[in-house]
Amino acid sequence: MFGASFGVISQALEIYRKSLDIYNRNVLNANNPDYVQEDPLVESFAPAGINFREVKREQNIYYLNLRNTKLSLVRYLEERSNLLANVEGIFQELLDGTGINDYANRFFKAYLDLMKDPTNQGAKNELVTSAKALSGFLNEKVKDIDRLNQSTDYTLDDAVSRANELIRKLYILNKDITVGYAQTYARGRDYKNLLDTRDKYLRELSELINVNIQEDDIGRVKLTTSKGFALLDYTDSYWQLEYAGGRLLWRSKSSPPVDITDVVESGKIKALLDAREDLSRFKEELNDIAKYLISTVKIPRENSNSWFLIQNVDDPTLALSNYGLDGNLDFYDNSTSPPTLISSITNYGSLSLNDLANAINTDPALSGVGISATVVNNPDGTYTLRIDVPLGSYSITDSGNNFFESSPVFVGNDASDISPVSTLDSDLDDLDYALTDNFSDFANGWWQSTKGYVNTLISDISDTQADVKDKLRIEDALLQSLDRRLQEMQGVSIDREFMEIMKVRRTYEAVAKIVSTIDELIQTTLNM
Amino acid sequence: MSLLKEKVRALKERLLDPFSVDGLEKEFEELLSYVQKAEPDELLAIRDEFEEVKTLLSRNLEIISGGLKPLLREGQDSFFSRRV
Repeated sequence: MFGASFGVISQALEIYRKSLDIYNRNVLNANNPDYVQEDPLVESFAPAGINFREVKREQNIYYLNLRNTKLSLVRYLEERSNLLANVEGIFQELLDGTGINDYANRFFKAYLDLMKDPTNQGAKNELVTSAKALSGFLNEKVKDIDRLNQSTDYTLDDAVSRANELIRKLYILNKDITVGYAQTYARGRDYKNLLDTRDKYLRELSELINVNIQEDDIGRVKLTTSKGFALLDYTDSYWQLEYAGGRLLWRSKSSPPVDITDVVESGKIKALLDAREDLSRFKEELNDIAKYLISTVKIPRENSNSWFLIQNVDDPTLALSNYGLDGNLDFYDNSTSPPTLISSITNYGSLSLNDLANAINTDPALSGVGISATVVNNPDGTYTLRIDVPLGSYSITDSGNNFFESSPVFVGNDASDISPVSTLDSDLDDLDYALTDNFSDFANGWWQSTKGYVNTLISDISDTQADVKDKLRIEDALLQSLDRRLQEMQGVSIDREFMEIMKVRRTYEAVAKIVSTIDELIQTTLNM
Repeated sequence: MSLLKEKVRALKERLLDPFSVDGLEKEFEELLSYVQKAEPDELLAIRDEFEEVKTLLSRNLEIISGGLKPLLREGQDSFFSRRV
């Protein structure tokens, strides 16, 4: 009889000790965000005594999963916003006198000043200096973007390695959970500390990439990316990711890697992938500015021996009249007095750029004296016609005022190599003063377009950043709210929590009715 | 800024936290009273922000209903704990 009593007492003491362990664990982990409060569930076993049924974790899995999803989104937005801040830093638009607008403005002003006063040596020097400064700025900014892109690549490599490590750790943890469950099955199933480690890994993984989590009865997890690419299948297998050539790849067990760059929705990895796209877009927009300047900006010349069609065209096979270009081209030999007309091409508006070049090149009177025409494919994708005449003795007049003896200010292919032409200094000593008014007018045209390209770049950077920051504010508030909620729920009774949620829901339902009334009122009033 | 616009903006901020509902109904009733007295141009000025309020409200309802779903589907026992 006493033996049985001692047995009951010893069992009760053991359960009491175990319960104390669990409460101690709760206290020790009070500041651990991944720890979930545990409660010992003790059941009566009359008449034999009491039994330790299980350790219960107080956690709402719906909020936990939602928290991880939002965490992934917030990390995505934070990382993207930081990278955009770096881009803003590169362009320094906020600092007076150092942004792209300032360099472009300075060049345009110098150009106009020189066209107004073409003999002014100071204006010539300023045009050369400002052209160098503008092209140097563009060269430098492209280098900065390339450097940022490279560092984004390194960070992406690290982030993908870290994600792979976490997936592998979770795979091992799934196996440990199986063992822990089996070993503690008859002793209160106290293996749930493993679930805290699991939640920590899941949280860290969610910060890197958004994953769908499925949990089985004992707490092992299965992970997939969006659109169902498996990362972890309980204890059976796990998959790894790879970052190569700017793309995120899912390594299949049996077939070639699959590109999942566009499948990933959030997390730091997605932010870095999007940042690469942002950077590549900004670089293209920077290139657009440089390409346009190289293709368009010209100065009037007296003896360049090259006549350019000043307006560029998109399609060299389309009749020039489609671009509002028409006139007669007359070619003169200047070695006689008065100059002798050697050939004419009338109404060139009926010809395409290619046809016009062909007409000049196949005219024996012109080709015979070394006059040739070349369709120039500009860096910005447009076309123009350059007519070259031998040094000194020939000239061209255009009744349509579309072809002018001139030369470009910039040379290069894009923002990485744009520079003023090497002969700019001497070219400016050969300005055709009679044409400076015409070129002032042209300058207003290319200036408007340049400003358009500059504004596209600047607004793209600032709009993207503003959009990201706005979303970040909203999603971060929700994340903090969910974190608070998960903390508050620790140790709260089920009944109380249920009542609280019902109260919140009822409030929202009541509010929804009022909102519906307000909505109707607004619609009615505004549609009056 | 008009009282109506201020109210809409304040409510938008409040709805960022889906669990903060104390006195929320009363605040929306106040908003209703402002809307009833407002001129059309005032309503036009708050229309976009009011749409954002509606979006946040429906998001919050979804979150709260999501939290209730496991409870309603499986019973209270399974609501807070991962089953063992």
